[in-house]
Amino acid sequence: MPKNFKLTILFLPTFLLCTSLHAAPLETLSLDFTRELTENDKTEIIAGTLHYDVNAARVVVEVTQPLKQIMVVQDKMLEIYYPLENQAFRFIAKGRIPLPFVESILQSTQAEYGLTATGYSLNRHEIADDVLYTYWTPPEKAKDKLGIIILGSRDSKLISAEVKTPDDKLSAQSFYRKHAKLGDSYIPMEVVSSLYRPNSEVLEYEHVIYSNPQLNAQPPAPIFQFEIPKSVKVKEIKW
Amino acid sequence: MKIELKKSLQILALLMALLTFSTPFVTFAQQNLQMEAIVAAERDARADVNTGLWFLGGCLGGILGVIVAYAVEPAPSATRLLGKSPEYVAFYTEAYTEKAKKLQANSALGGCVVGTLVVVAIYVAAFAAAVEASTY
Repeated sequence: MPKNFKLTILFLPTFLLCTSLHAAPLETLSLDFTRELTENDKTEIIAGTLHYDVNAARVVVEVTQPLKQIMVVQDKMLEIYYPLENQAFRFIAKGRIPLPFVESILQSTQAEYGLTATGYSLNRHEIADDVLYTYWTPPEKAKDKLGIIILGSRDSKLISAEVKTPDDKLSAQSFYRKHAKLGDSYIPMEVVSSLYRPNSEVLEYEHVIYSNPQLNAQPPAPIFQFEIPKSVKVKEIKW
Repeated sequence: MKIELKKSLQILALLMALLTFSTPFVTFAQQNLQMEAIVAAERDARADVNTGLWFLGGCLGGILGVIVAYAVEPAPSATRLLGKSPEYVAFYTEAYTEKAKKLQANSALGGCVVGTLVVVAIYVAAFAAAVEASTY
C-alpha cells in the first residue's frame, strides 16, 4: 500500500500537469506537415512546420522541402521570405487571406469549425451510421459565390466535409483521420482532399500528414515572432 | 613550363565550352519555369473568376460594372505559392492578375454591350408601338 501511495504521489503532479495542459485554451500550435499534391498526373511534395498563434491570428509556415521558404499570413497581409536567396515578397490584399490547407486544421480548433465566424448558419442536421451530418448555408450576400457545406462528425471529431457550388455541384471534399486531442479540440493528423471541376472530374488531390503537434509550447518558438530582416529588399504587391 | 601553360589553356578552353553550352540550358530552364507558372496562373484564374457574375454586373451596372471590373485586383490563393521559388512566385502572381483582370473586364464588357442592346431594343419596340398607336 505505501508503495502504491508513493507511486500515486509520484504520478499525481504529472497527471495534473497533463490534465491542465489538455484543458488549457489553445494559444499556440506547431505541427510538422507533409503535403502531397497531385495535379495533372504530377505530384509535388512540400514539407515543413506550421505555426499558429491564436491571439495574434498569425500563421507562419516554415517550408523545408523542396526549398527553404517562410510564409507569414496575418489578416490581409501575406509575406514570403526566402532565406537562402535573401528575397522577399509582401502581398497586401483587400480582404482576409486564407491558406486553404492550413485552414482545415485551424478550423478544427474553432467553435463550429469557424463556420459561424465566417457568416455560415446551421440549416439542418441528420444522423446516419453514427455520423452526425450538419448542413451549413452561406451568408445571404455570398450565396451567388458560395454553396452549402456539409460536415460529418463522429464522437465530436470532424471526419468529413463537402463543399458545394451555388448550383449544388460538389466543389471539394475532405476526409479527416487519425485525430489527436489537443486542448479542447480533436485535431486530425491526416487530411485527404479532392477539388473537383464543374464536370465532376478531380482537379487536384491533396494528402496532408501532420505530426509532432506542440500545444502552447513554453517558451514559444522564436519563429512565432518572425519578421523579414530589415536588410532584405521586399517586393510589395497590392491585391 | 610549356606543358603547364598548355594544360592551363586546355582547362580554360574546357571551362569556356562548358559556360557557352550551359547558358542555353539555364535560359531554357528559366523559360520552362516561366511557362509553367503562366500556364498554372491562367488555369487558376479561369477557375477562380466568376465570369457569369461579372457578365451580370456589366449587364446591370453598365459602364460602371466595367469600371469596377478593371479596378478590382483579383488575388490568387496563397497556397498556390507554397514551396515555390521566388521566380515562380513573381511570374505566377503577374500572370494571374493579368488573366483574371482580363476575364473580369471582358465578361463585364460583354454584359454591358448585351445590357445596352436590350435597353435599346426595348426603347425601339416602345417607340415603334407608340408610333403605331398614334398612326391609328
